[in-house]
Amino acid sequence: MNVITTQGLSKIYKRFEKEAGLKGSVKSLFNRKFTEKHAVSAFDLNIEKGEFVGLIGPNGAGKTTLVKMLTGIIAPTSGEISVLGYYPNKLENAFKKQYAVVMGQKSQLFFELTPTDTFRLFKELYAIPDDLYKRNVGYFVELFGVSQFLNVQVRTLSLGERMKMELIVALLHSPGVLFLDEPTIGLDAASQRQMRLFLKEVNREKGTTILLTSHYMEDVRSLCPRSIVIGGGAKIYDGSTDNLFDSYQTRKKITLAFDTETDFTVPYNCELIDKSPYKVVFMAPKDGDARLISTLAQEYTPIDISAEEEDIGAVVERIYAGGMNR
Amino acid sequence: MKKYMAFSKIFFKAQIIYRFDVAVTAIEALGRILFAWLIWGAVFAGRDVVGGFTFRSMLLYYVVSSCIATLDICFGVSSEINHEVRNGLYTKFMVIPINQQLYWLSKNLGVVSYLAMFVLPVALISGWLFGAGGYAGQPAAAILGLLMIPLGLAFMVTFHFFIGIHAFKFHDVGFFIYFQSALVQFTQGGVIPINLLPDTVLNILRLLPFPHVIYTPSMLLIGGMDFREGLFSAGVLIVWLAGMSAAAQFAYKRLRIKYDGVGI
Ligand SMILES: Nc1ncnc2c1ncn2[C@@H]1O[C@H](COP(=O)(O)OP(=O)(O)OP(=O)(O)O)[C@@H](O)[C@H]1O
Ligand SMILES: [Mg+2]
Repeated sequence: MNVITTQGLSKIYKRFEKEAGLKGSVKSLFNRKFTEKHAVSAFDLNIEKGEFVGLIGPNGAGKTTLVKMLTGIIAPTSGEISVLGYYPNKLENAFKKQYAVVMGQKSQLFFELTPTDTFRLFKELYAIPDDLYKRNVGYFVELFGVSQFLNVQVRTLSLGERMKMELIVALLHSPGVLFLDEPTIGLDAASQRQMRLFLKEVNREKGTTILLTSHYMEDVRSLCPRSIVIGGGAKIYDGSTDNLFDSYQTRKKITLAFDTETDFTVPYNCELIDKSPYKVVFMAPKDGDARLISTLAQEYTPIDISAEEEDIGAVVERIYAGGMNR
Repeated sequence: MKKYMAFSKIFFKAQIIYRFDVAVTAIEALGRILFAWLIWGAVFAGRDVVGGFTFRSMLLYYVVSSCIATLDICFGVSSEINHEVRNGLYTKFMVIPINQQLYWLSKNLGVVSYLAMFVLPVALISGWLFGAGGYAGQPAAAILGLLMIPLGLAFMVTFHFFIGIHAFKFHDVGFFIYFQSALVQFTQGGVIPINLLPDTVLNILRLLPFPHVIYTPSMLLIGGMDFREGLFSAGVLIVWLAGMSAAAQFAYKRLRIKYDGVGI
């Protein structure tokens, strides 16, 4: 069953533009110039119940715009959209009770309240039955280890502590669909890992459909079997996450260390990165790297040899750039 | 309804724990009363009656209207909505299953109930001090005055909700808020008791909602207005409250569709 369906979905923002300087400001008072921004164009999307989908793309690609349309915060300019059978921008209560959204950039919490008060409020808002409420709060608080922060004002929490609360609040009413827009932004490595474990568990245990946007590829690679790449508002790729990274991960980084001064000649088709008499680093095509390594081992007798995955940043750059040219 | 009561209760509680400044605001009402004592003392110097008020009844008016004014914290509603819309924070209200207007009403009910705990004793003590000689008005008028206070406050919250949500379209309604506050303060009788104004102005004012938020209930409570005039005022206020609610609901539906989710 499809939980999310869009067809030819587009969003055009109108933005008011002003020429630089004071003169420009005065001029724009009388003659307002609007520019149109096609943030999302003719976007088709189908997401099934229980899927965990990653939405990636460079800054300004239209990821947040898509999430804003799917959650009903903004109205699409054209195209069809259906989430759980509803037209999101109608913002019917019956619809709102079935999803949740967490934005890493913008808090959904009430800053003057404590997490406990906030949980209670949401219990009333969503009419969560007592036993389910107790079970959910207990489960999530333990999973995140945040019991010591339950009775302080939300505004005093650190970013990471608050993000965990945001997620708990979002999940209290057991939503069928969860939208996450950069939920791990600004979190330290340990918190990111914790967040990932948590999300994985929620998706698996509760069958929650999750759409996640993130600039941390580790999030997407470890959580989302399926990825969608968006660039300039259009869909560039939609399919298996592993295939995506494999097909763009064309090179490996090879490092050789020697115990005597060695004059190394870079093999054909490889790109030298760093070279000293005792150490050399270069990029080699991924195909045939095993053969290359054994040849080098015989030829140079290094004391150490290693082959690493290419830096993820470079791969992502290529994915984004590849899409643009396509 | 239960969920809105939950909002009131929790915001009431939040005041008790953290907002000492709110208590200070209430105590400030006392300061204003002292100030009034000095000012009106000078005005009344050597005279018994000014604009139909005796010195005592003028002070009493001042006490009661100050107390109601302290409860009128609706100004925060429009500025908070304005701020949150501008910064992309308002979306948190859009995605949860609540009626926006009722949310602001219930939040304010929570905060106002807290304030009332401070204001009420001030009002009672001063009433006892200045109202010596017994209560001169009709009991029915006093009861009506009491009932009109929550109605008036509800109107003000709705009015400010209405202004605030225009940030969806205009991106910043700071100017509107500033402009209306000057006007409203004057017509509410927060600056001077309205009945000191010329009759023609008065006749227009009685058809506006603002005088019935502070001035009318104060006058009813101190026995300076009769029940029939009060009933008319209450009617005017109720019509405005209903109209403003409808306008706010309509505006919210229309404006939020124009919203582009700026700030997120
Ligand atoms: N309210 C708005 N008015 C006008 N233009 C907007 C508005 N919001 C976004 N845009 C523009 O639309 C484009 C897409 O923005 P969006 O926020 O969807 O990008 P994103 O993919 O989420 O980027 P990021 O990774 O930086 O969060 C951007 O070029 C942005 O400048
Ligand atoms: Mg974004």
